[in-house]
Amino acid sequence: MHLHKYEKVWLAFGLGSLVLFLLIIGFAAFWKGTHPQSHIETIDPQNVEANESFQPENLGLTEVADGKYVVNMVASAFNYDFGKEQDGTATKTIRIPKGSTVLFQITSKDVVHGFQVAGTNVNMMVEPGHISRFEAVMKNTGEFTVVCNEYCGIGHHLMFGTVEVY
Amino acid sequence: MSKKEISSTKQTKEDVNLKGTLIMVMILGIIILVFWFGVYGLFLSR
Repeated sequence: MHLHKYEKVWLAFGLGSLVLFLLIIGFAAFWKGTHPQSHIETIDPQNVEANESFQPENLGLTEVADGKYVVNMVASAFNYDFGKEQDGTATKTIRIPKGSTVLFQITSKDVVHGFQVAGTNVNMMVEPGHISRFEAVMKNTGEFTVVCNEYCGIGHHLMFGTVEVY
Repeated sequence: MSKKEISSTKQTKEDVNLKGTLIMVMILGIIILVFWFGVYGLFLSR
């Protein structure tokens, strides 16, 4: 088969890019352990309290070690349950110190929701029957809006919260 | 098709100028790579 000299050049460029990106995917998946946020871990959506992480008293921000936090949340139409404040009102803002490692754990009681902390890499699909997890280091200070980015019904636009990194 | 016509087609295939095509392919390739590394940089900074 005859190939023009230039054709060989761009075929090599294309194949080289393909190999480069496959190596990057392999590195992320097998070395860094990147996987979809819901990692085949199931839960009964009718009874999320059966899982210790999603019992009402365990919702919200918990410090598990120095600079390490866990945030447990339950999404339902059309609300994020971040737990309760000291005075008994529902938490709407999660306050996290800058530089801490935070594991966000969330599940849904009803339909598919989204959980995105806009302006950070925290972005998950929240499926009923599955537990979604995402660990992130909060590098930048600021107020970040939490939005549901999967259309979940008539009150979809009312589903939001705030993460404040200070 | 006569023998003469076949050889003339072959001739044009050998001589075809692909310089413009090469430049365009490389520009597109570089744009894709620049965007990929740009998005990756955004991912790392957030």
